Amino acid sequence: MLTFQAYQAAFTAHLRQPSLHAKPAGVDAKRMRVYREIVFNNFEASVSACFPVLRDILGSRRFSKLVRQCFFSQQFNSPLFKDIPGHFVTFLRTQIAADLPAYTAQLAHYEWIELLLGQQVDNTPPDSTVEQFTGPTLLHHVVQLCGVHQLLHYDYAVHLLSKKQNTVETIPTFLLVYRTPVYKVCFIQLNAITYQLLQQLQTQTATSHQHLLQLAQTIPHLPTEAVIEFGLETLLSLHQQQAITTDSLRSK
Amino acid sequence: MAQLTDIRGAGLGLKRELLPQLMQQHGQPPLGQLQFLEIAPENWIQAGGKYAAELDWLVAHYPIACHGLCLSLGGPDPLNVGFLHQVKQFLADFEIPLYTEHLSYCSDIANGYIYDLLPIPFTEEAVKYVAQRIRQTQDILQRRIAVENASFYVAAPLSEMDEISFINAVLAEADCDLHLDINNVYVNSVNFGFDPYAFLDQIPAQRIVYGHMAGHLQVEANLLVDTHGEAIIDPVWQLLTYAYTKLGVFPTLLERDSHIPPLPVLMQEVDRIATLQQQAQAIHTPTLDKVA
Repeated sequence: MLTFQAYQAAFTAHLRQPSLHAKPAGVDAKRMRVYREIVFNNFEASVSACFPVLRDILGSRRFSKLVRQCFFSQQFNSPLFKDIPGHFVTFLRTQIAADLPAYTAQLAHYEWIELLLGQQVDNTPPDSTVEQFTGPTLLHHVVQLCGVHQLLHYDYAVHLLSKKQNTVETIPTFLLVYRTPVYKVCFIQLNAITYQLLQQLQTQTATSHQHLLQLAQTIPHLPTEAVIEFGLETLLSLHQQQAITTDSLRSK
Repeated sequence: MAQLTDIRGAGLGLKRELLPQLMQQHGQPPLGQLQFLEIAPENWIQAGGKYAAELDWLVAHYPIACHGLCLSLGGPDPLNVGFLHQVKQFLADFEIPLYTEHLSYCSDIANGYIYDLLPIPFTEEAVKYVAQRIRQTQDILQRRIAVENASFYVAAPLSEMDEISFINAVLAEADCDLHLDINNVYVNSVNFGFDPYAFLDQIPAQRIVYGHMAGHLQVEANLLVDTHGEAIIDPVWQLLTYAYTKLGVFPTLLERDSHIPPLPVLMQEVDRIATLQQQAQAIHTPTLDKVA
């Protein structure tokens, strides 16, 4: 290590964790404080903008303490500012502190997804069909989830959390998050069966009818006709909300 | 396609919150003097959705300069070559003619990026180290870059030279251009008690690609913090006037990162830059009969 780099290492170690690492020898204490404040405040601002609900629930002091731990314990390998909140989500996954609500990491993930999808690059061609389906014709179209989406499964009803409601039951919670053609990020809560159907859409290319037949096989206690009927209703609704798109080619 | 010569006159550092106003007021008289914009690649690389659409609009309507924040030219970890290739592609995709960075560092070995600009100690060793990384950057990008004189608050006890000597040594050793921040010269002159005019006298004018102007926050009599959150004060305007006289007129851009007033108010400072440029040019342009 070069001489000036040893100084740099001491400099940044102090900025990241001043409680453990003293400032480099011979530097002005008051001036060093300017760096301590600016550097951490900027970092904290980049993080906290993404997690308003979690910050509200934990309070700014506890939240800030977590951000500080993240700042000195994580590896930040991306120079892109938009990736900073993702580092915080990764950090929270490793936190099992007793004083944190059990849902902390999952709530943070839920809050982060909105930012992530808002900025995600969409390489899928724009949906060529502007058809509105009102009935069974949709059955014969290949249906796909829209270009920018995520199917999420949480152990808590994270979408219900707020400062006023800071406890939620442990209950499997399924969500579809997606971005519309006018760049709005939308959330839809799903039941377990719809979640399963959309997982099929994610992994296989098939028509609505084929998907629903396959789905019906996994729930033998329901008549196939009923699964198709309710499934079609669900798909029509999701199509209307621009969460799914159709292939313009009809299947044979 | 934007050329290097399109980066001229007076410009503005683009903050995302200014975009709606910019799109609305583009082409109207209050924005008449706005000739170029600056963006940080770290805010726009891999940006999809609404941001991609905004970037397309920006590139279509203004010449753009890229001013990087996280290359960490003075950093201890290896230069992020993968990121540099992303920058190269970004500059090519959006036909951006200029990329500048800071003469500082923003990363460490222990944790990676720290996301803020920190002062490099002014040593011979550091000159060689930073210059080598600038050359490597220019090789990868296959173009010249400019480095900006950074503002700072702490003097490294191990420094062997003053700031201007360090800058000049790096520029010469790397053979790169200079992005001259007038406010940073002023801020550092107060923070470290040197004469900003004497500093400018030693700047190699031929290396300047463009300049920055900004406001700062006075914390104490001898401590200024480079917040980009205030109006530009008169001594900094005077320094710009002197720079134009001494070094010739160069494209100059206003940076405003916090407490951002409405665009027409910001434009008053951009207009003032343009006026100073025109005045300096009027004084220094030789008349035709003199040339003849």
